[in-house]
Amino acid sequence: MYKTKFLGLRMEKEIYDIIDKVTHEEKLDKTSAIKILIQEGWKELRLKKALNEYQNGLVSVDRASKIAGLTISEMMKEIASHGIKSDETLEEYRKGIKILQKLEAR
Amino acid sequence: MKIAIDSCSVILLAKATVLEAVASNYDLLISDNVYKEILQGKDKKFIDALVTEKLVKDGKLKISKVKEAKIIKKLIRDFSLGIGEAETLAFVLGSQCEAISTDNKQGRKVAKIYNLNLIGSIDLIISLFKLKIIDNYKAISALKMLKEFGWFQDYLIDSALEEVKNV
Repeated sequence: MYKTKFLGLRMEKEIYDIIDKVTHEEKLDKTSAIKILIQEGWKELRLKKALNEYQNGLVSVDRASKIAGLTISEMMKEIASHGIKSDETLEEYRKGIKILQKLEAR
Repeated sequence: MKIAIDSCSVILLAKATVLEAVASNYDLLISDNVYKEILQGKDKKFIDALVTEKLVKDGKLKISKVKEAKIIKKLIRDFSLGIGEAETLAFVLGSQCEAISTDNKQGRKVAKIYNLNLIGSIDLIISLFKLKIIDNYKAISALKMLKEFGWFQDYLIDSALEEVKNV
């Protein structure tokens, strides 16, 4: 089992410049800068996928939180901060109140 | 009356600081997986995780197992639900609870398909107010916290706020 693996890469100059910029700004060697960029990019990709699937009604919040690798509370915060709102309507809200009143009366 | 409640509603009610009042007034049931999901936030000291744990320890929030395992599998397969959401719905589909409280888009969709008694966090806050369990200051503060969190459409919270202010 390898602890590390070698990967040779050929890339566009713009991408190389990003790595170079992170290397200088964060005072890192290029390998560390690439690792950080991949990890951060991976987190963003997973979050984007989770938000997209939740917004389109393809998964529930708990399933989305697993895709994003977040707790449910964190996932809910991301959903809200990205402006994705509950689709509960006024009619449903009023119906909910009536259901509670009906059940309380039993 | 037993209400099955999912992680979303528990977390929102905790954020609105009314979870204890809701749990003291209604017979709330959570599944073991919903409990696990909420407690994921305990290490990060999330208020929802800490309050939920306390309510479970105090016996105000009950954890139960779903009797109908087949329903859970079907819900996960058919609607891409997480295990916690599927278990919460299964409580009502298997007649262990009479209503479900969920503010989860996908969970609400499934509850409507099966024509379940569906409620949400805003309904529970307004009901507490109507039952005089919380006063109008507490109800307004809870609704404003939900508005600030940004989960619901603003007009929905505004309607609830109007209802409280008009009493």
